[in-house]
Amino acid sequence: MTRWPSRAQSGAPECDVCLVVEGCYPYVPGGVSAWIDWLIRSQPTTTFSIVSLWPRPVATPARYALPDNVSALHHLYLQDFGRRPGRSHLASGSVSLLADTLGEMVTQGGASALASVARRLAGLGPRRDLEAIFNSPAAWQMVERMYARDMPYSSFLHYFWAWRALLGGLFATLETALPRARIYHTISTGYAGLLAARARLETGRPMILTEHGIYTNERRIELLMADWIADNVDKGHALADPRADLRDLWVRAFEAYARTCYEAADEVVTLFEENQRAERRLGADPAKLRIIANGIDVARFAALPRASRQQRPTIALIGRVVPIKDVKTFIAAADLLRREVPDLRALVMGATDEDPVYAGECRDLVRDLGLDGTVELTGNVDIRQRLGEVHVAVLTSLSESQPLVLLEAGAAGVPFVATNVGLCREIVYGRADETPHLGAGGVITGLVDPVGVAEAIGGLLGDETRRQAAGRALEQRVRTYYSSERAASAYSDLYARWAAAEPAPRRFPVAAE
Amino acid sequence: MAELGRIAVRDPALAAEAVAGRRPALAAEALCAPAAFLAEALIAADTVASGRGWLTAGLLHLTVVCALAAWVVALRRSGSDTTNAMLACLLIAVAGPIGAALALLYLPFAATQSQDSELLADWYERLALSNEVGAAERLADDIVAGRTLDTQAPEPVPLGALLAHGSLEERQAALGLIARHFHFDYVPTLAAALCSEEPVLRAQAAAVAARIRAEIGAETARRIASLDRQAPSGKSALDAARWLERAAASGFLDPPLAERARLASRDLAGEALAGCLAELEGDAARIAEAELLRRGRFADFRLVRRLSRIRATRGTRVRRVARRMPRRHLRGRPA
Repeated sequence: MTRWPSRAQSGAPECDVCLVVEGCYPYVPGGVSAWIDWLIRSQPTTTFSIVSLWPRPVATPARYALPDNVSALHHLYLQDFGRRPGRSHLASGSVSLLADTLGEMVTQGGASALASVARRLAGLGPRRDLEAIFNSPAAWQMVERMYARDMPYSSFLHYFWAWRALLGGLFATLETALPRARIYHTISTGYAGLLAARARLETGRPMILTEHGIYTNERRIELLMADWIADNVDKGHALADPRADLRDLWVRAFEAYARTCYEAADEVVTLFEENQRAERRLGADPAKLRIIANGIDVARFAALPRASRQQRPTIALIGRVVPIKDVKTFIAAADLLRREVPDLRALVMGATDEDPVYAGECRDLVRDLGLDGTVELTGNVDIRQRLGEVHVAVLTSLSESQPLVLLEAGAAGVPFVATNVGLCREIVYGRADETPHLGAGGVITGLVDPVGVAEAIGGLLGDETRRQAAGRALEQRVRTYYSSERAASAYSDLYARWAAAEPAPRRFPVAAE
Repeated sequence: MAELGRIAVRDPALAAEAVAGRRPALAAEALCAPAAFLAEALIAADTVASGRGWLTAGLLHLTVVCALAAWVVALRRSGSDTTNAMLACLLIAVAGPIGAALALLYLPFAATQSQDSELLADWYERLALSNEVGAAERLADDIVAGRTLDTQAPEPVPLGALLAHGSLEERQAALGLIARHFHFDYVPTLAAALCSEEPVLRAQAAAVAARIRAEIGAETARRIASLDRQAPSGKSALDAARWLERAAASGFLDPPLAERARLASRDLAGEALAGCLAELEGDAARIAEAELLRRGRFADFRLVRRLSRIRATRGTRVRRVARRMPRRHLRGRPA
């Protein structure tokens, strides 16, 4: 009977749901954090504990006050290894086996690979020595062996640091104590997904994955563009070169981690159909996939006044002034539109302090284009106070999953012009199987396309009947499909169903209680 | 590959012998150093106790040193490593019994170091080029160093075709390549990716566009600012003008900055071209011709080429042609 790796927090009370989140709640505002806060508050009778994953200890203060039904907030630091030098010396046979298992884990992934890694590490000694093992001569032998096998033509130095970062996170998720819970719910794949997969295999309790964006794709995009990863293999522009480089190592590792999470999860929830395609491509079982769209409190917006034809024509981009919102395209579109609508007013309603440099560039652009009387950066405002002035809402984002502002403006009957990202098309035009079809709630444009955006806004501003019809269609769609009650009820049912399920057999070595 | 065979840099037999010779003569050191110490200690003790003169002591010391020197020579002839023996000999010659004591202390330490040198023998051999280098290894080294082309490497595929027909993984890799090694020629490919039916690609293309836009914007501003400090001339000026022109046309710049880039490019190119046209010799002429061709000003190009040739031949060719020309060809032409 080994004491490791299973080590639940035996003293703490068991909560209903353990949320595993990476790099967001409760320290980063907006986006996924806002959704997590909503989820917890929407389930007042469910108790939650939270494991918040970060590379290193967080320096910023929490941006969300924990709701009363959160019993505990735990932190897990993924790259915090390195303070305790270890002295573990292993027989070459053990090193070889562990290196092979870790190699399989970071290239192929899968629940059985994760269980094998846990078993092999369990065989090395008590869990408290994991950090020591990671900094030991044995770990050095492992990295040498994996390097010689996988990338002998590449730089060892770069390989070593990549190995340390990738496996450091893996070791950290295997090392930490698990909060006791009836259901484990991770909000992304990656290391959070690994920890949840471990919880599923170790405790036999159900595990749910909710993905807003596809984490693996986001990491892939980031890694493919990253300058901090050196290209060690000179492939020139020959993309078909079969030799793997460090960039491939990183990408494959995150794909392997995602595969592990998908395999271990009992149910995989996402926001819209296109995400499911990506999940299937990454190895998710179609039978586990489910859609629960986010929702908003429709009643809070439905009673807001509507902008009339007599008011000054006003368009608004509702969002933070950051590059990913592509505010400059909105400003450029306003510049083009002003030639047709001279008294146009274009509002940018969102915080300007997150990226002051970009906000400064936007102000310069407004000044250089002579748009001082047209474009106004309002800063953070209560959009319920301002939506009554807006004839058309605009979103020029380069990336979104399911933007809540689209739903909020829609609930207030304001038609939308949005880029073709995330769920925007589905919200504005409706799903293919929408019955009855409610009509277009606005216009979808291409990315980084000021001309297209200006034409779309101009089309709505210039045709009051069309604008009002689009506003009504969007309002009806939001009310029908995207209310927070509907989303909260779906999660409530989900939790109830899995809480009642029998625990599955444990696949990790079991702790001696 | 076969005709390349295996390249022997030096005679392998000699190399093996040399490597074997670097093995330290540990056994001999173990015997000789204590013996030398004993002899030196006895000489010193006898000199102090019996009161014999320093001359006798010096002669005896010299005898010990000579014996050690003979030992070093013998070691060298046998092909052994003489580093430690030589050091011990020098220490004893200079410092007598004290040097012998130091040598006695040092040699065990040197013995542990010599173990490492055995481990490094392979590395020494490679550094000394005393081992054989496989043809494949040499070819690989040459390819990496750029001395030889890897003819078996996969051919690069045009990025446009790859983005249209490649697998998702290939298309994402292509966009990554565009992000890391951007060139203005990639703009249409990136624009196509922004309109892709595949949401993953659209998202990645948007991320790439955002990054490129920031980079090109900063670089354009930097280049325009540097023109005020020191404007380039000749070919570099035309290259700089071309870069600014392409940046302005790329769609990545904010309209005011694009306009500034366009103006800067026009001024820079105009000045550079005027400078080249004024010289019309050597490189300047070639640069001017290339620029005129690029701009499609073919009539000017022909004129410049003719003028530059006249300059290059110092007008003699024209005179010769004029002399040969029948008078009727000159009739009716403007002076």
